[in-house]
Parts: sequence; structure tokens; C-alpha cells
Amino acid sequence: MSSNDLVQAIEQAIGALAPVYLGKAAESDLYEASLLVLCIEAAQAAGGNTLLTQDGLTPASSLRFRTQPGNLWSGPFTFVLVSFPGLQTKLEIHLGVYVMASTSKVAHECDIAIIDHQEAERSRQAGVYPRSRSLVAAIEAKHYESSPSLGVGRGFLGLAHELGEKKCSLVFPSRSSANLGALIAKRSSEAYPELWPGTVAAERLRSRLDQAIRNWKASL
Amino acid sequence: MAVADQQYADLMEQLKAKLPDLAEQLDQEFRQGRAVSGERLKQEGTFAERAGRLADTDLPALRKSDIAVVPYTSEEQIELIREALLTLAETMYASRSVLLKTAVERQTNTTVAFGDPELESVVHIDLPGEAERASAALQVTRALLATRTEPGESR
Repeated sequence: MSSNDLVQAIEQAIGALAPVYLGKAAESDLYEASLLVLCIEAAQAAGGNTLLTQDGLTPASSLRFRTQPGNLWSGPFTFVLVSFPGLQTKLEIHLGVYVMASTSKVAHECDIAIIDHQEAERSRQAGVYPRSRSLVAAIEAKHYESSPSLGVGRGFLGLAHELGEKKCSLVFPSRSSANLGALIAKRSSEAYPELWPGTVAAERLRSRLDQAIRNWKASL
Repeated sequence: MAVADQQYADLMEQLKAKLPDLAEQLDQEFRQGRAVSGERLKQEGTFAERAGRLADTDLPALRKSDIAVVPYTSEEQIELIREALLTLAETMYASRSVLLKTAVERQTNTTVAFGDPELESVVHIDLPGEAERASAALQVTRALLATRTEPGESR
């Protein structure tokens, strides 16, 4: 393809995508919701039965998610309840909830949080933040089509330091800049560039979450 | 202004008008430039000039471990726009598709809602319709952009 042809193709692609693009917030919300599905798959791979629910008892008749970070105990939002055959303990998977760092006592937003059910229940009953010590995994999602800036990486590392480095993953659809990759490469936290449903990166994250849930089960 | 520079400027104008969020992301990346190691700097064409300045001022020479930032060329910027549009198309379709599949499997309403009804206006997204539209846009985008420009091809 010559450069002129490429420029024309890009112009046509912009024309094809613009009417379908729902805006930054909605596309980001959809991306995060797709990651919730990936967490469901990981929980199932780890032997869990998953229930999409709003009350913790019955299947949700429709899906409703937060657009902004909120308290776990507020609102009629859909989450996933994960139960395991032979285990009384369960997990919950939430979108956009605050989790309190056990050391600093500061609440941080988790785009996706996999939390011990008892801790989530405690949060609902007492209206207090779930604590990071009961966090099994957290995902920081950035719906970026070009590499997130170094500032995003620094922010993520700060979050991971607060919530537990091994528990935190940074995911985004674009490739990663060399700088961002290098910043995170030697940490316990992981970055997953080029991740959307069906990609190799999505499979790697699913495996990591699967293992995190298995480790959580084994530690009970 | 060189042809590629003008092409890049025109494309960014279109992006700003039609996909401003993407334009902003790309603009940020372009402003930051591209990190290049001291070793790879030799391929960038400015190694001798940089090394010469250090030698002239009696400062320690460039090493492999040095990192420099070089500006993207217009050709590189156009290539990054191509990549970003493909990624956007793939992500838009995959997100809608996987959510729709889950909604159908779980027998929930296939219109997903985002927002707290007590605090904000709720956005309702019709997954079957949006997935179909995104699928069509993805097919078009793949057909247009899935082939990379070969280096050195004439304009």
C-alpha cells in the first residue's frame, strides 16, 4: 500500500468508526464490563460457579454497572458471586468500587475487584470499605488505543503499592511504549498491553486470575 | 511542508473533528516522542551529531545504556494512527460482542445500563444493535487498514 493509499484508507476508516463510537466514557465502560466477563471465565476455570446478580441471591434480569467509582454497598449494580463446590467461602467480582489499603487506610478505586465474599458482606452491612487484605485481584483498566503515558504507569504502581503489588494488573488495548513496559517490567504487578477479549493477552490475564483464585482457595 | 507532514496534519484534523478522544491520546504520545537506547541511536541518524557535541565539550561519551527521546516522523505518526484505529475497531467490537454473549447465555436483558439512577442520567446500550454496528465497522476497518505500508514505497 502506498502512503497516499494509506492516508485515504485511514480517512475512510475514520468515517466508518466515528458513527459507531459511543464516546470515551461509554467505550471505557464497555471495555471494563468486558473485563468482568474475563474474570467470570477465570473464576470458572478455577472451579467456581458464577452468578451475575444484584442482590447476591437471584440472577440479574438486566446488567447495570457504575460509570464512576462508588461504594460497594451503594446502588443496584450488577456483580458476580462466585461459589465453589465443597467450600463455604465465596468470592465477589465488582466493577468500579473503592477498596481501602490496609496500611494507609486510604480508599482507592478498583476498576475491577475480586474480593472475598465475607469482606464484601461486611462492607455492605456496616457501610465500610472492603479492605485490601481481602482483595484477591484488582485490575486497572485504561481504554487507550495509543500507549498510556508514563504517568499512567506511575499511578498504577502507586495503586499497586497500596493494594498489593502481586494482586494488581494494568490492562489496555494499545501496545505499550518501551518506557511504560520498562517501568513495570521488574515489578510484581503485571501490565497487559494489547488486551481485549479474544487476544493472547486476555488469555494470559485470565490464567493469572485463575491462579490467584486457586491460591486464595488453597490458603483458606 | 513535506507531503507526509501535510498528510499527517490533515489526518489529525479529521481525527480531532470525528474521534477527538483518540486524537487527544495520539497527540499526547506524539508530543512525548519515542524513547531510543544509546545503542539504537546509531540507526537514528543523529548519533554522530550528538556524539560530536559531547566530544567537543569534553563530556562523557554516549553509552549503550543511555536513553534519548526522538520525535516521531510524520510517516511514523501516520502508522500509529493506523494502528490506533485498528485497535479501536477491534476493542469496540470485542467488548460489545463478549457482553452480548454473556447476556444471552445468562438470559438477561440484552440492553446494558451504565450509571446510578439516583445520581446521573443512565446510559442504555442496546448490545445486539451496537455489536452489529461495531462488527460492520470492524470489517471495513480491517479491510482498509490491516495491511501495513511497506517501507520505501512511493507516494
